Amino acid sequence: MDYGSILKSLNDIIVAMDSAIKEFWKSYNGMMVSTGRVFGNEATKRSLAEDVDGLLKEIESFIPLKFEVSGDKIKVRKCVVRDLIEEGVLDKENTICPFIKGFVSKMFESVGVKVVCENCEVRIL
Amino acid sequence: MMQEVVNVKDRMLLLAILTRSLELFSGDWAKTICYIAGRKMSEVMDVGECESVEDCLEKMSKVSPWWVDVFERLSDNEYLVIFRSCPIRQTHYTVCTKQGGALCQVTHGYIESIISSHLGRKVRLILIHAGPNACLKRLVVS
Repeated sequence: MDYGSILKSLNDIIVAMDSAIKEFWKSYNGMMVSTGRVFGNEATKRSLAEDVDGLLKEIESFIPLKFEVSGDKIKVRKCVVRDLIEEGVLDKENTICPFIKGFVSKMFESVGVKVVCENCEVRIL
Repeated sequence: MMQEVVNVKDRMLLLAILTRSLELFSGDWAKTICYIAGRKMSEVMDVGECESVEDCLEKMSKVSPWWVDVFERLSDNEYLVIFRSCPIRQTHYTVCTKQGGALCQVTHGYIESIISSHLGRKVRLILIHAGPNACLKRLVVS
C-alpha cells in the first residue's frame, strides 16, 4: 500500500470518527473539551515541565502541534486538525478542535497558568 | 514524499490519542463510538454485488485498504478470517499502542456492516489473535 492511499484511508477514518462522535453526543463540544482535559490530566502525570517554554515543547511531543510565542500570545503555527480543515477533509465545526482545546488548557493549568484558547491562538490570562 | 510520511504519522498519532482519550473519558463507550465510525465508513463504500462471505471479502479487499481472506471455513456459518493488511494495525505499530482495543472496533464495524448489508444476515467478528503482520478473527454469520 502506498502512502497516498493509506493517507486517504486515515482521513476517511478520522472523518468517520468525527461523525460518530457527533452522532453519539449531541452536545459534543463540552464532552470533547472534557475528553481533552482527561487526556491532559494523564499527560501531566508524566510531565516534567516547570515553565511555559518547557510545557510547549512537551505538548508538541504529545500531539502534532507547533507553537510560536509572541508576547503574551502563543500562536499555533502548525496543527494537524487545521491541515485537515484546509484540505477539505474535516468541517470547521468538528469534534477534534474542542478536544485539543481541552488538552492544551489542562496542560497549561499544570504549570499554574490559566489560558483561553480561541482561533488557533492561546492567550495567557 | 517526505511530507506524505509526516502527514501519515500525524494522522495516526491523532487517531491513537483521540481513541485513548475517549477510552479514558468514557470507558467502553469508546468501543461503541469506534464501531459506529466503522459502520459509517462502510456506508460510502461501494463493493458491488456479493454472493458469499468469500466473494464479499475479496471484492472489499480490492476497493479498500483492508485486505482480508478466508483462512478456513469452520462450518456453513463460521469462518476463520485473516486480516493481512489493515490501516488500524499499521497505526498501532506506528504509534506503539496496544492492539485489540477500541480502535480495532473501527475494523469490526466496517467489515461486519459491509458483509451484513450485502448478505442480509447478521455478522459478528471475534478476535482470536492480533499479530504484527496479520490478525486472525472468527467470523460468525447468524
